[in-house]
Amino acid sequence: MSVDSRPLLTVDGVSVSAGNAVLLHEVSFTLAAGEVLAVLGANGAGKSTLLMTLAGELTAAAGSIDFDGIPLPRWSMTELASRRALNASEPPVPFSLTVADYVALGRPFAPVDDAALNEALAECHAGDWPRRDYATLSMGEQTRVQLARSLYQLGEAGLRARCLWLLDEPCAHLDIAQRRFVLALVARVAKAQGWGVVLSTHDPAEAAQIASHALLLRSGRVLAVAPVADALTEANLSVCYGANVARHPSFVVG
Amino acid sequence: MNLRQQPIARVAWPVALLLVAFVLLSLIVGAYPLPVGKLLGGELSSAEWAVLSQLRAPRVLAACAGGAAFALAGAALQAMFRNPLADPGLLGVPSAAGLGAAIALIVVGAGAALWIGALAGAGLAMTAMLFFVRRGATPMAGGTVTLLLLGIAINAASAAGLALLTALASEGQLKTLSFWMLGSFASLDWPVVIAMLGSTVLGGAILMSQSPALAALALGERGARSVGVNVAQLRLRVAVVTAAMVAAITAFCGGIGFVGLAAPHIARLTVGASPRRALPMAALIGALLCVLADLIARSIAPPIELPVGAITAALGVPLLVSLISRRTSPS
Repeated sequence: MSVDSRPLLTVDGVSVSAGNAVLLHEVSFTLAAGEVLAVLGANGAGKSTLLMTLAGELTAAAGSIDFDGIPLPRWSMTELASRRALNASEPPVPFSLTVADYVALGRPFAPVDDAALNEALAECHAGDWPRRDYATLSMGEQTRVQLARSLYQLGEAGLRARCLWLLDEPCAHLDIAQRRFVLALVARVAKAQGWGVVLSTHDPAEAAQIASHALLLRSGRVLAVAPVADALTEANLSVCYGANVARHPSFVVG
Repeated sequence: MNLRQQPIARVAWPVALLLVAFVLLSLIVGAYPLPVGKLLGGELSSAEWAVLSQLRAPRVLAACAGGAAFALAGAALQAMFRNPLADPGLLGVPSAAGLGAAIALIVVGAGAALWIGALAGAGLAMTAMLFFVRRGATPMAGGTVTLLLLGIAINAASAAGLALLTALASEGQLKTLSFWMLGSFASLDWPVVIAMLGSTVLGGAILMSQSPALAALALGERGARSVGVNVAQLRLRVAVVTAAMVAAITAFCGGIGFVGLAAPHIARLTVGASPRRALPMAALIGALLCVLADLIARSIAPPIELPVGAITAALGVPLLVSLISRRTSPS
């Protein structure tokens, strides 16, 4: 599949503050369509802040973010929602909701496309669940349905590719099998659709499994941003986490 | 295959028919019964026609408008606050209307002053709410939490004001005030009833237009924004529309308790949580509850009328408890 080589996302010198605290300091990187960027860092390093800034939830105090060549603040909410999906921690749903109704919320203003909804659920191996109560699903099952919601959200635009999928620690609280499933799904979709993916994780092995590039944060500053083979070195990881990190022989990059 | 819930029509039709039946029953039953045959045949005497057109019809339509308005406001607020316990009283509008009415009653006297006082009180509460909601978009400066806290503050201030005023009120004023606070659909003129119906229909239409955005709030405010919902704008619209609807009803009918809480619950249990289905269903159930409550209120011991608010609670509580227990019982 040929992938448009123009940057999908250009982040240039972005800083984010909260009061006197600097949460992100001059973060810069580019992301091409079809690339997966893993964001790593210790607790409080700024991973979620970066993801929320890219999602438009937080405003950068300095610097610029261009999505597909257009500054992020110039995107209307509805246009952005058709090209950018966010998976982050969510509060429990307040009322009883079927899985199908939940996934349909990915495009709240459009008539429900049952075929696309089925396809999104099937892609996440949740094709048998549409009538189940979302609240009764396990954590892993809910994560899969949340991913299906994002696939459904971008489904229409996905035909045009050049979408951005932001995932904030999608594997938190998941067992090994579910983690593998989620990572494989994200990697497969990114490659097949040509979507750009920015995914935060605590696990360098996860990053190595899925990402083409890695960005290491330490106290809100970029420690390294490079292809995973160059970024996920023992030296970088040790500085990043403030602890000696040794790569196990089974730790395969790429 | 349609994967989502059954269409609303299947459940709504029986409720709508039941509402029509109780509306017709309400028109003929009362201290002065109207013969069904003469009503249907158009052979009512002038006295009977006066009872129908000046007393019963405006009263029944006011009950429909009041019930639907409280239910619509409750359903929208529960979706917006993501909390099944939210009801119109949460924003403090009915209690502020009550305080305004009490001040007017004691300072000026009963009648139109009571209504003007209630509208002024509700208007002040709404203005305070708008001021805070428009001030900022951060969760604490203009968010849902602020609305809740403001509602609590308005409710507390209104309760304190009412407690002080009761010390100043005469016995007659106290009786008028307590009956008004518990709600009544009696003695309403046609212009007032038309205004109530108009505000309910208009408010209901605006809330229905917001139902896709309200549905997306199930994802949380951040989740809703990520799928394209302007949450700040939605919050403002829903707060203004529900407050205006509730103010219009409370000013003329007093506090109709429990409908705003119970009707949306019952609606969700029958047609699901999607606001597109739950809002119209809640309106039907709210109207039905109020028409039934009004019928009971004036039929138990005529010519004495019981407070409608007490009857709506007495009707709604067992219905709600039975639906909840059926829903949560292991099967």
